[in-house]
Amino acid sequence: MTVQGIVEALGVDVAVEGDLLRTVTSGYTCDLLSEVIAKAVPGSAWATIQTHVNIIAVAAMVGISIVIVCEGRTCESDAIEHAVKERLTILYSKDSAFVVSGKLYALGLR
Amino acid sequence: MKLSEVLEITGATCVAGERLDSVEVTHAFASDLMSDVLAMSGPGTLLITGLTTPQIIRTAQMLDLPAILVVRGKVVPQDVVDLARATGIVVLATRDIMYVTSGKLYARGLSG
Amino acid sequence: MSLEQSAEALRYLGLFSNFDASSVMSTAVYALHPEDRVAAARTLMREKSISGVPIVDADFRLVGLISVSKIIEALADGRLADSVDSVHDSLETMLACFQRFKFGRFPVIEEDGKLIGMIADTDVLSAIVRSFYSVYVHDQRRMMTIGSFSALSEKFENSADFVYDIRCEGLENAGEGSAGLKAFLQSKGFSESIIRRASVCAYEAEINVCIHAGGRGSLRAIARNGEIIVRVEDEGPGIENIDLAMKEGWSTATDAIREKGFGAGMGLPNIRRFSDHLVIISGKGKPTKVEMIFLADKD
Repeated sequence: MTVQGIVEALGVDVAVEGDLLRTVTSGYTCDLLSEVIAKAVPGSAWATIQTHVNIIAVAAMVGISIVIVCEGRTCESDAIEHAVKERLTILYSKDSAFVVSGKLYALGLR
Repeated sequence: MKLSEVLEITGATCVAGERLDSVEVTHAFASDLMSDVLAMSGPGTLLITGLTTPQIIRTAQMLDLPAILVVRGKVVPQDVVDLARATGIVVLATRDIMYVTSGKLYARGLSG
Repeated sequence: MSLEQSAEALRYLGLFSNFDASSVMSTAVYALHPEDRVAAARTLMREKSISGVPIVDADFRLVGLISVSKIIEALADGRLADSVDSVHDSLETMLACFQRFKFGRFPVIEEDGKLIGMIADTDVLSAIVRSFYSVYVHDQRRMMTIGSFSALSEKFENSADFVYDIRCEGLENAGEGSAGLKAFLQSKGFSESIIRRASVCAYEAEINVCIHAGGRGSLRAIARNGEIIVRVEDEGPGIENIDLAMKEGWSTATDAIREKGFGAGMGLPNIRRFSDHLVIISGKGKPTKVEMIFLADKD
């Protein structure tokens, strides 16, 4: 599945449109940055409520393909700037991380 | 959804609490930030978290949450188990990550 | 904006719609009898720092009000030994004056004329402050706008119904005080939802003491007449910028704290979200006092 496919399937606000052709192979839901660095696998779709600029650095380090910011939260402006530079797609969902995970899982992302 | 079903769906084990078929959860909420849980959750919610500090029990206690499902294969420390027992909060633990656990429960109809 | 337009806007916005005189007035009222001397009125006003004293008859029915200006007149005429009855404004005069002048304080009477309270400008200010989510920095700004007026409840000066000393190393036993408070409120028979709101806010405030103030502080509560007042105090180092601290997502917590699931900048915003009234007094290098009020009728 590609980032494009996730964007279309979830149908939520696109905060940053990055590289839509990146492959998404699995999902990861977590709000602790150290855990994401340690456990998330490259190519993940990452669901979180963190909005800090650090999430972009972590995503880049791990090789996250797309970030879904949950609960109707919005990123700080410096996070957006960094995401644009990294060509990292960021979505804003009004759903909780549990529901976003449920929807991604239902798409077949394991 | 009964906690006994949660156990079966997620392959979790029970760390604290008993009579899981008599405890019902109506929603689930997945988060590692306790203030987020405090802001967004209410009674009857199953808390899914990767933390194992005493604060997960305190948070559940303040909100009248019946149960916590600890993910990512974390071992729940004895003092946390003791606190859970003292406050009557059920604690389950699974090796699955938060994403998979949420996905499985959502697929079986537990709402957010 | 004219006074009429302002009143219309407030009605439209639904602000202060639940305000009536009884919720604003102070009920500890000093009053004089018509037979009392003018000198007694002068002493009372000086000692209690008030600018007017209501005159009531034996049944506590309001018959008039003696103001500072009347006392000055009496002083000039050498009539301090006269009864206040001879110098005070009659009720009719008073009512007429209220419509024309800006008086500092107003008596509140029941339909039968019985005096039940007084409303001073500070009472009104206090009520307005309480009705908003009010946040104060204990600095020059506060002194300039509200002087010595205290936004904190005076009820804690004498006693509290629940007291817990916060003594925390790290985050380990953080929440013990709030758990105790919750059990106490349950024993008092409050509804589940108000208890939940008060417990969550107390917990966030307790966590803040553990994260930011070395785990040393106090958690106290007064729970009476369907109202819960919770005050959490510490000994500093204080909040340098309260406006920023109230912003969701802003925090000075360390990464170690963040990895424990706190310090995400949601504590004070949560407290604001779940309390009916909130006052925070702090400043750089100062103690922090957080007072939260929970009203039962909101549930």
